[in-house]
Amino acid sequence: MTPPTTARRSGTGTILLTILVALGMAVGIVAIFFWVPTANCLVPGAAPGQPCFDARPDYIQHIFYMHVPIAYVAYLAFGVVLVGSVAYLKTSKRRWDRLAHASAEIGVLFTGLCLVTGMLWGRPRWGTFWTWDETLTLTFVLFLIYVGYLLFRGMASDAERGARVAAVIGIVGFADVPLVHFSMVWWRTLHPAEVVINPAGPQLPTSELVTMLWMVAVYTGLYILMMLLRTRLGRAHDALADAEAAAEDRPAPPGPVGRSGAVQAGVQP
Amino acid sequence: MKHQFAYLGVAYTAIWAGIGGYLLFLGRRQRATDRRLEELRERDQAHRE
Repeated sequence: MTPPTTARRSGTGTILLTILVALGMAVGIVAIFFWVPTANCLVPGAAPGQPCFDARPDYIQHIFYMHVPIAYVAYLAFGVVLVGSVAYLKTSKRRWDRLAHASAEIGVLFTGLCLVTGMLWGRPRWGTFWTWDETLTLTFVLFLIYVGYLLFRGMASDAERGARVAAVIGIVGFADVPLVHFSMVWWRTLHPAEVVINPAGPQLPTSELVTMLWMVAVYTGLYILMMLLRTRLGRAHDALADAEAAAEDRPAPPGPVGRSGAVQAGVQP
Repeated sequence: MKHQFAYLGVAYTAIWAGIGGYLLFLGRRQRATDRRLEELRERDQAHRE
């Protein structure tokens, strides 16, 4: 059997999406720096809507327009892990497992970025990078769960069994996502309250809300782009595993062929 | 004010370094896999001949 050539070059859709995400990010940055207010109102005006009596420039708050969309995309990524894992356990089709695996990897990246940006925002506000606050702790636990998911997949000797156990971890791990989100509502945490997805409606002025939603759309586009690239890699890995299995079944050809060859070439599943 | 901009620069750089680094890492893994697949395909053809 001739190994299939699954690794297609980036299509027009991927290139178009890359351009759109880059343009969207540029527009978002312009809005963050030139449209939304940068002043932190220390002494409010005489009445709501009146100018503040004392306001100071507060550029640190601009981290918020990256931190919150990144957190939402991490939720989305783990939601896709949940869907992919359930579908894989139900159908045993490899593509669902590839989807879940790809999304978990991107979710871990976004959760890591969420933790880093949160710490950088927190230092000037709270005087410390980290505190074992409910929301922060639960987010860190979420990060660890999916790092564990990836480590488990990397170490499993039986790919089929590893994928099944990983699917269970992916499903159970998702339980932490609503805990992270609602910890800001249920408990009086140091972390600021949720101002976008709030039971009383968004708690932001129009310019801030529009910029925030714009950045959520941009990061969602980035997530889709990453998923396209990562699932393409997953398909190539599966094709490689099949080709190596077929090569092992044939009489030994000259030269180092087989699973050890993949290790020598630095290819990791 | 300058301090705030520098601090913001660190935060934004950390985000883009993370995203860019991951995309580069994906590209490197994709190329390594493609190379290995191509190698196996060539061996398979040679084996048939």
